[in-house]
Amino acid sequence: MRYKYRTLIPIFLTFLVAFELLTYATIATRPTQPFFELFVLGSNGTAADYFPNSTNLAVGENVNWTLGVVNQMGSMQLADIRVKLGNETIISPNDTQATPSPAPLVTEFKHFILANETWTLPFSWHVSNYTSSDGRVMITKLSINNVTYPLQDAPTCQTGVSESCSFKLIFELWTWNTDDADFQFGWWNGQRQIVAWLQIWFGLGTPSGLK
Amino acid sequence: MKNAFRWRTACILVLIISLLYSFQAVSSATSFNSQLNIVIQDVRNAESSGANLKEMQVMVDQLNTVLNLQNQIGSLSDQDVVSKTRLLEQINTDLNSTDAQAKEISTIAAQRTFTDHVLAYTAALVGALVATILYHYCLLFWRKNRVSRTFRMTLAPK
Repeated sequence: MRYKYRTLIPIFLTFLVAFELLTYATIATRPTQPFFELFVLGSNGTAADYFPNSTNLAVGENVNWTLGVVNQMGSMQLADIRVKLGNETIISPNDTQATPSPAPLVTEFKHFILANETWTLPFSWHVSNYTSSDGRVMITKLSINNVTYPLQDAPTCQTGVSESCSFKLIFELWTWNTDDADFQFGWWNGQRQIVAWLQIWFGLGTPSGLK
Repeated sequence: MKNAFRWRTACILVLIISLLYSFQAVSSATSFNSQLNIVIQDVRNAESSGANLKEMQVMVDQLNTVLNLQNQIGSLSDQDVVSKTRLLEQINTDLNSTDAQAKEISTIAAQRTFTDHVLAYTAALVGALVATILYHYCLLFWRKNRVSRTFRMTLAPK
């Protein structure tokens, strides 16, 4: 049987289709689920040792944390971490309704993050001052990263009910929405708004003896 | 009577000035947001066009500088008009520069991506051709050996 070169044409076409498909699969961008990660680490850079001694802080007692955001959105993003001060009665952000906490804003940190990049920033803070009247304690000054923020309409807590007076620092992740040209709480994944937030409780009490 | 009129006029003037000032502050914030929004969109366009990590890093660093400048404005007192104006000018310049850079990178990156894709698909074509030639010679070699193998065959008794 004589070998014919014409038989190579279907072989070549098969190889061509296979190789082009392989190239397309390599080049084409794969659909992935976009998301952010928000984290707070303790003084050792781990998810532990958040407070130097106990969660009950004295005025001026410094606490060192690290805040971080991981951008897995597949594109450059403008992130905004909003720090709020709450108490036991102020509600936390709502995941299902994607609403932020009504707690008063203390400060915010904005940063542009590249795709697949992690942005970390030190968060060193302490309670600078508080007032106490009619059995209610109100933090009036909070120092964050060597900047003192005077707090107006800050939440209060009832003393004498327990050993200490509980407050919480709420960290909310806001991102830039190009459709609204403004920040939005969380981010959109298709038709669904997803939010990321964290809160850490602390007490203001013993050893300063707020009773 | 005259004093009361003067007092009233002064109050109205103060009110108008403070309203104008607050309107200016609001419009300045809105203008900054819309300008920033345009730059962000252009940088993202450059990214989707195929801008590499180094190019993106430069633009993101510039944008973070703008955020730092904006923070500095926030920490200034209302009386520090000169510093505020200087920082606003700097922000405006930086945003315009980043926007122009993003547009330029977007064009270059789009061309680069197109060239890369054409090269990749052409490489696949060349690969298919090389694979066919290899297949052809392998087949020839196998046939040639089949003939010699046939002639070398011996009958072995069981």
